[in-house]
Amino acid sequence: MDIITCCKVVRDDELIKVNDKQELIIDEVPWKISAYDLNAIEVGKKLAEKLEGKMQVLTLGSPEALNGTKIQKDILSRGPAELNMVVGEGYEQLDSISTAWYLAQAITTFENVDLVLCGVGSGDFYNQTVGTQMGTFLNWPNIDNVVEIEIDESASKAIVKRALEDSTETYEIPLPAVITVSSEIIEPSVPTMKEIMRAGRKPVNLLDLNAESLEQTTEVIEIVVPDQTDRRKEIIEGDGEEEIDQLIEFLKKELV
Amino acid sequence: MKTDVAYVLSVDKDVILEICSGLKDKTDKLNVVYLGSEEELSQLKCGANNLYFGELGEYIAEDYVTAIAQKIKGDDSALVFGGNNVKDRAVLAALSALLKSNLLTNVSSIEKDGEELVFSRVVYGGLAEQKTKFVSNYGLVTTSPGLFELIDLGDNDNIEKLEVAEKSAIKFIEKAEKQEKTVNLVAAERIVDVGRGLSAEEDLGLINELAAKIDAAVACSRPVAENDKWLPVSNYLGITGTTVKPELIITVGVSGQVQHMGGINKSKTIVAINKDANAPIFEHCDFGIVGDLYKIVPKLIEKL
Ligand SMILES: Cc1cc2nc3c(=O)[nH]c(=O)nc-3n(C[C@H](O)[C@H](O)[C@H](O)COP(=O)(O)OP(=O)(O)OC[C@H]3O[C@@H](n4cnc5c(N)ncnc54)[C@H](O)[C@@H]3O)c2cc1C
Repeated sequence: MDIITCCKVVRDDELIKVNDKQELIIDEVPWKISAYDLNAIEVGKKLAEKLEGKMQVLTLGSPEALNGTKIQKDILSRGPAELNMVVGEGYEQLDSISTAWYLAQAITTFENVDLVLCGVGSGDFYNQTVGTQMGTFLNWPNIDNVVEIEIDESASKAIVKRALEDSTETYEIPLPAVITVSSEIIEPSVPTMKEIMRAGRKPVNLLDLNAESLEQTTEVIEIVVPDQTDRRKEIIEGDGEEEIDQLIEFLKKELV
Repeated sequence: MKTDVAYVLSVDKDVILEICSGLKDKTDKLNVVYLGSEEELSQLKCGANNLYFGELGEYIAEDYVTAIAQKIKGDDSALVFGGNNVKDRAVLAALSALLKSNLLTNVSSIEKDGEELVFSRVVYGGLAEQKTKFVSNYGLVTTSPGLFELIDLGDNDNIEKLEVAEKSAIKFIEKAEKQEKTVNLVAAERIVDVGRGLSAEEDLGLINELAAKIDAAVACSRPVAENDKWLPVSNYLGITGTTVKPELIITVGVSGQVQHMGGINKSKTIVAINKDANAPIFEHCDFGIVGDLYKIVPKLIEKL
């Protein structure tokens, strides 16, 4: 069972700030693994353990995002046997269709792939479409928003549950396939000391795609920061009788 | 807004009626693709030039993707719209790959700039809006619910049944309805919004009691719904969840990350209860108390 989990490295969303000219301050913000790709990596790790297979990570991004050993080790400490990178200037800004296009070509460079996993959406643009687009480019069966995966012994098919707004549907899907998992599926685990130590010794492969590029179909005009509502920000510290009474005073006025 | 040819595709007839309302008189040719049951067809008065209908039951939505792509390719250029629900998004994503054109999801506004359409969507967890235009013959968009107001649309000129051109490799087995009560958070005037500061599911009792006391609905953060599964997914607030604008919202043990605030920052008054003085929620509230929710909430229930 050969599994490839796709993962994006993004700017840490908790550290992006807005300056007083209503512009994003983003250039110096550190990189991290996109939150919901951690869930996909965890699913890949668990499936590989259960089926005695191998899970690798595939990531696509700019040199600035991917060339640091810190981020590489962070990814490798979470279960993959190897890290595979497609690196290009400005790649983390690619639109989802181009991202899917390159990832699909990267997948075809592996000798054997039974399952490709994706997270539900990236922390920066959250378009939620790359898995389906990649699967379609590969002409592989694909499905998204999956909350449960069962794979048969011979790794020929998966039974998956897919969460919709008001129901859950079960599908049978032949492998190889692209499955996009919901963040509900599992909680990512924290890497152990041993996993962190071993991460530094795992292979990091730079994939040379030689890919034809896809014609650009969208153009970003601008990124604007909407106005924030001004808040009164009356903050009191402490949970004693007196402070709670102040809160109650405030609430009583609001509740009339 | 002007586009020569538009396709409106959905598995949900209400989505179709809403988007068609928004497009009326703004496109020379309006084509609708409805994937669903034949019984609903009579309710689909969307004023379309063509209504293509793919019956679900024996077939699933994915089975129609190739046939729909062929229809769209019959036009030299087109904009394709769908809802931002899971199925519409997946069908449009597959179409976008077949048309080799980008899909912009969860678009929250569409403006006209000269002859061009500009689509906005929220990025970076809700901090910013990205404005994008298509520079290709085909463009695909899923719109946030409620973007357009419903109007009367009139009959369709032509109705045609879609035939499956290439069956999808995925096979539907069964469907289970979610067994959960849905609350209308969007209409709620007061909300108690609970986060991961709650240590156990049983403690939801405390939250429910407070909510009952002040006649409020109960909502939560994404991890409380998705990871803890203490409340239905439809109850979580935020940019990827529900957006609310009550008169009063009391957040209890919510840190106030940008993705969550994006769903509640239109509230009139925000009150925060959190034991960490450095939690971002205190930057975005009207009244905040730094303290233990387990000391504060019982007192509120007692004294309010
Ligand atoms: C792409 C993307 C989209 C997302 N979309 C959403 C979204 O739409 N909605 C959403 O909610 N989240 C969303 N998130 C997740 C978001 O980033 C945060 O992780 C989440 O909102 C945090 O939830 P929380 O505040 O409940 O938990 P935490 O961040 O863990 O905060 C818990 C808080 O409780 C406080 N606390 C603990 N114990 C007590 C106590 N006894 N008394 C008082 N206070 C206490 C702590 O100080 C802490 O501040 C998204 C993330 C990503 C990457």
